[in-house]
Amino acid sequence: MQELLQTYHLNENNFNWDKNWFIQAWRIMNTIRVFEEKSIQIYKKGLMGGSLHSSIGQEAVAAGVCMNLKKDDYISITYRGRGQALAKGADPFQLFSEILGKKTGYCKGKGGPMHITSQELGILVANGIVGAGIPIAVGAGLSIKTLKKNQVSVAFFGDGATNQGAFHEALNLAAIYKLPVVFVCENNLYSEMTPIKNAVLNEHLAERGLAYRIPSIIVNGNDVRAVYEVAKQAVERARSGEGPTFIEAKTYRLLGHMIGDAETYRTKEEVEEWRQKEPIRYFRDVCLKQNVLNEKELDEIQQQVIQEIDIAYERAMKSEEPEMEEIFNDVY
Amino acid sequence: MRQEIVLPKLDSSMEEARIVSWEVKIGDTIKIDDPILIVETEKSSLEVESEVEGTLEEIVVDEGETVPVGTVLAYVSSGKHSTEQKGSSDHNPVKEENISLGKTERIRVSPAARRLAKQRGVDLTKIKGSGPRGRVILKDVAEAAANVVNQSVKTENKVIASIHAKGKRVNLTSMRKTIAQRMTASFMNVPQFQIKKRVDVSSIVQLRQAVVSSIEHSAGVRLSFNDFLIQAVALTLKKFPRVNASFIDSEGDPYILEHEDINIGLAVAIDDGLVVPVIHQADQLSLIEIAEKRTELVEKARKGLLKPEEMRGGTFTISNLGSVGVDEFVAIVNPPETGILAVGNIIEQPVLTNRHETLIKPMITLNASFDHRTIDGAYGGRFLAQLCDQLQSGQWNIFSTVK
Amino acid sequence: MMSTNRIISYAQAINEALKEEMALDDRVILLGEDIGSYGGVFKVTKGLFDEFGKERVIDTPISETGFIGAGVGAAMTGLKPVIEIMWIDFSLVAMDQIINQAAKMAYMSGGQTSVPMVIRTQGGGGRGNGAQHSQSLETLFAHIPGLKVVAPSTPYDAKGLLKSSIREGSPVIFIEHKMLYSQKGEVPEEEYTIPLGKADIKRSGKDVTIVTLSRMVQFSLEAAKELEKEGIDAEVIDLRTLVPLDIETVKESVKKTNRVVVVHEATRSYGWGAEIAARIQEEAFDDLDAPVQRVGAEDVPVPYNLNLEKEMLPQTKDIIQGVKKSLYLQMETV
Repeated sequence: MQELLQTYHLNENNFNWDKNWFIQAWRIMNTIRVFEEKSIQIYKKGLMGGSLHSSIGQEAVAAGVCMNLKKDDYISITYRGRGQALAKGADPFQLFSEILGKKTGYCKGKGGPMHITSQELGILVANGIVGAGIPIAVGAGLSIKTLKKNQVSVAFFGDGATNQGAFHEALNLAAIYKLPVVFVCENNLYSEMTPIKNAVLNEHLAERGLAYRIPSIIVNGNDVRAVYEVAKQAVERARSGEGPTFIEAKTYRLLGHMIGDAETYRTKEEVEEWRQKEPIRYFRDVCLKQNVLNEKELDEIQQQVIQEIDIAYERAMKSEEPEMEEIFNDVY
Repeated sequence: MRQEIVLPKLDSSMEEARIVSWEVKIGDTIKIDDPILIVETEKSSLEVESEVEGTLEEIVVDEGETVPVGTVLAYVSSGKHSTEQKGSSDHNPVKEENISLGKTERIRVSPAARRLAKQRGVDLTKIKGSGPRGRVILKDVAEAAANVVNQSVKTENKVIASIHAKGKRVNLTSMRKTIAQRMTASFMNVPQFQIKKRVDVSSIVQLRQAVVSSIEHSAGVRLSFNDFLIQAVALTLKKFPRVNASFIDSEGDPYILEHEDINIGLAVAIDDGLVVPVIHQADQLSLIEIAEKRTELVEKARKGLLKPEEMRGGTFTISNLGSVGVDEFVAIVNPPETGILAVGNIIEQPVLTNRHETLIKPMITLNASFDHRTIDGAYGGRFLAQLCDQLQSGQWNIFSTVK
Repeated sequence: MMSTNRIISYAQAINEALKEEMALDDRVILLGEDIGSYGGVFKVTKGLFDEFGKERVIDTPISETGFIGAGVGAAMTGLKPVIEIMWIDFSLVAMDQIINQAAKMAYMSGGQTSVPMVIRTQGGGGRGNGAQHSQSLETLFAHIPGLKVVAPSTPYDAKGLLKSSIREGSPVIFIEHKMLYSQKGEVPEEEYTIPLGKADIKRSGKDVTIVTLSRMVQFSLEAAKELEKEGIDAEVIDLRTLVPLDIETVKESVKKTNRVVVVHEATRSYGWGAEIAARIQEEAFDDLDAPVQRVGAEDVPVPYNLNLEKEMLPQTKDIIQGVKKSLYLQMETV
C-alpha cells in the first residue's frame, strides 16, 4: 500500500542536461510570468471585467507537466489557468484578446479570463467552479479509452479542490475504470483566502490519491525539472494503459487569491521567504550553476518573451469587440 | 370628432360581406355619398357610399376580410366639428370627460371580447358581462353584435327581477339566448295574424305509400310527408311573391323586398333548442332532391354540424309538430321572413262530402302566421287556399322538376 | 406511414431507441447506476449490456457528480454519452455538472466545444415513493439556457424523441415518468424520429386548450373525455419538450378556443405553467377570453401516504375543475 505514495527527489546525476530542454522550460516559464504581469497591469487599468487570479510563483508546475504533453492531449484547467494554457501552447494574443473580451479571443470574448478553451490545443475548459473540471478530465480519459486513442488527459486543480466531492468522485471513477488521467494538484498552500492546513488534516494531499489506490507522488512544484520527471512517468503510465496517477506539486502562490486580495491570512515574511524559492529564480540559478545557459542567453530569451508579449498585447488591444449578435450564438 | 363608417346592410339577407377594395385611402377627404369601398355579399358586388364627411383617419378592416353587418370599417375625422370645439375656448371637453370617467365604474372586459367589440362596433358600456365580477366576455359581445343586426328589443329585466321564485336556476345556452332574442324581437316588432285551414292529405298519403319503398330502393332516400309540404309551399310561394318577401324597416324609408329565391326553412327540434336549416331554391328541386337535402340537413342539425350558410337565407319557414302528436298550433314569424306554416298531426277525421256523405279522411290542420306589414288577411287566405289545393292536387315533381 | 404497428411499453420503446442508436453510432455509450447486467432499476437498459458490452454500457458507482461530469468530458471529446440518473431527485447532487458545466460549455468556449449528452432520468409521483423520489423538476432545467428538456407521454413519442435527443449535439435532459414505464402504445417497427420542439395535439377541440406534458397528458385526455359528456370540447396539447418550446402551436390553439388551462404535475408556484401563461398574455393577449388557469401539485413536498399523495398531485378531477373555471362554469372566488 505505502509504495503507492512516494515523495520524488530529483537525482541530478540522472537528469538529461539537454540545452534545448532548458531553453524551452525557461521560455515557457517566462512567458507565463510576463503574461501574468501584463495581465495585472491590464486589470489595474480597468480594461478587464470581473476578477483576475494570478498564477505567479506556480509557473514550474504548468511548464513541467505540459512539456510532456502532445498537442492532442487534453488538459482541464482552472480560473488560475492562463499559465497552463500558455504551457500547452496557447497564443498570448488570443489569450489577451479573451481576457480583454475581444472577438479575436479564444472564446470570442464570451469566456473571459476564467474560461479559456482551445479545442485545437486540447484545452478542454478552464473552470470557475473549484474542482468541477476534474470529472470532466476523467470523462476525456473515458473517451480516450473507449475510442482506443493514445492520448492522455490531465486535470489541473488546486489544494482547495481536494475538499470538493467532485474531486473524490472523479478520482474513484478514474481508478476503477483505469483511465489515462493525470491528476495534478498544485498545492499553493492557500485555498482562496484560507490556509489549506486549516481545511484538511492531511499534511500531504497526495494521501487523498492513495485513498483511491491511485499511485500518488509528492514533488517540489517549484522545480520544473522535478515536475517534468514526475509528470513524464505519469504520462507514460497513462499512455501504456496503466491508469491514473496523482501528483501533488508543492508550490506557493506569490500573490493573493485575486488582484486586490488584502492577504491578511499570511505574513510578508512568509511571502518573502517563498520568493527566494520561486521557480524562475530557482531555475535561473540551476542553469547558471550547471552551466547549461549563461546570463546572456537567459536574458536574451527573457527579452524576446517580453517583446512578444508586448506585441501580443498591443494587437489584442487593437482588436474588435464581438458583435451584439454574438450574444445569441453558441447557446446549444 | 371621430365618426365611424360601418358596414351597412345592403339587402335583406345580407349578414356579412367581404371587403373587395377600398376606393379611398387614409388622409383622403370624403363627402357624403362618395363611393368609399366595394364589398361583395353572397349575391353581388356593391358600392358603399359614405354617410359621413371628413378625413379618412383609420381603416380598421382590410381588403379581403369578411365581416358582419354593423362592423366598424373605418374612422373619419370631421374637421368641421373639431374646429368648433377648439373655437370655444372656455369649454374644456377633455376635462369634462375625465370627470365623467372618474364617476363611471371600470368596465371589465376580456381581451378577446374587447377586440371583438372594436371590430363590430359594439358599445361595451351597454353590455352586461356574464363573466366573473361582471366581466364582459366574447359570448356577450357576440350576442350584442347579433342584437344590433337583428334590431332586437331590450328585454324588461325588471319584471323578471321581481319574481322571487323558488326553483332551480338554469343558465341559458347561447342557442337558448339567441332564440329568446329573436322570438322576442319577432313578437314585439312584427304585427302578426294567423289563418287556419284543414286539408285532406289522402292523396299524399296514398302516393307516398305507393312510391316510398321503391324510391328508397332506387334513390336511397326515404320520402317523408315533410318533403311534400316543402314542395307544395315552394310551388305556392312562386305564385304569391309577396309572401316570399321581407319587410325592411330601414330608418325613415321602409320597403318590401320580394325575394328572387324561394328558400324553405324547416324547424328542427334539438336538445334544448331548435335550428332552422334551409333548403335553398326548393321550388326548383324534385321531391327526391328535397328528401335528400332534408335528410342531410336534419341529420347535421341533430349532430350540431350545420354550417352557418346552411341556416341562412330562408324566405319562409315550415314547423311541423305532427311527430309529437299535436293537432294544431300557431307559430311566430321568423323575421325577416313574412310567413311561417305550423303543421299538426295527420288525423283520421270524418269529412262531409259535397253529397253529404261522411267519409273518414287523413286530415291535417295548417296554421299560417304572417307579417301584417307585408300582406293582409285576404292575400294570406288566398295563399293558404292555394297551398291546400296544391297539397290535394296530386301534382308532384317526384323525380324531376318541371321548369 | 406506420405499416407494421406493434404495441409495446414506454420502457421498451426507450430501450429500443437506445439499442438502435447504439447500433447506429459507436460513439453512443451508456453510463449509470445498475444499468449493466442488472438492466436498470426500471429495466430500461435490459439486454444492452449483453449486446454492447461493458465498454459501452458502463455501470457507475453511486456518484452522480462524478459520472455526469465524466459524461460532460466524454461528450466534449468524441463520445455521445447517454446517462441514466435513476431518479430525477438524484440529479440535484450533480447540479454543478449539469448547470455550470454541461449547459455552459458551448457558450463559454465561443462554440468550440459541444456537449452531445443526454441525461435520461425519471420523475413524478404516484407510487408512494415519498418526498425525495417523486419530484417533477423539469422547470429547474428548463430555466437554464443551454439545456434542452424533453418529457414524453407515450411510447411512440418516447422512442422518437430519445433518438432525436441522442443526435441533438447538445445537452438534453430527457425526463421519463415512472408511472408511464408500463404503459403501452403503438410503436412502428421501422425507424423514425420526432424532432425536439414540436408539440403534439393529442386531442383537438374548440372550447378550451389544455397545455400539458408527460403523465398529465393521460390525465388531461381523461378529463377531456369527461368534459365531452357535458358538451365541452377540449383540445389537449402535449408540449413534449419544454426547451425548445413550441409556443406557436399553443398560440394557434388559443386563437381558436380563447381559453387555456396549463396542467403540470410539478408544484404550481413558479412552475412552467407560469411561463406558458406569461407567454400567452404577452403574445396572444387579445385572443384570451378568460384568465389562463394553472393546474399543478400543491406547494408542498410529496407526502408518502398514498391518499395524501393523490390529493396533493393533480388528478383528472382537478383538470376538469380548471377547465370549468376557465369556462366560467365555476366562478372564481373574488
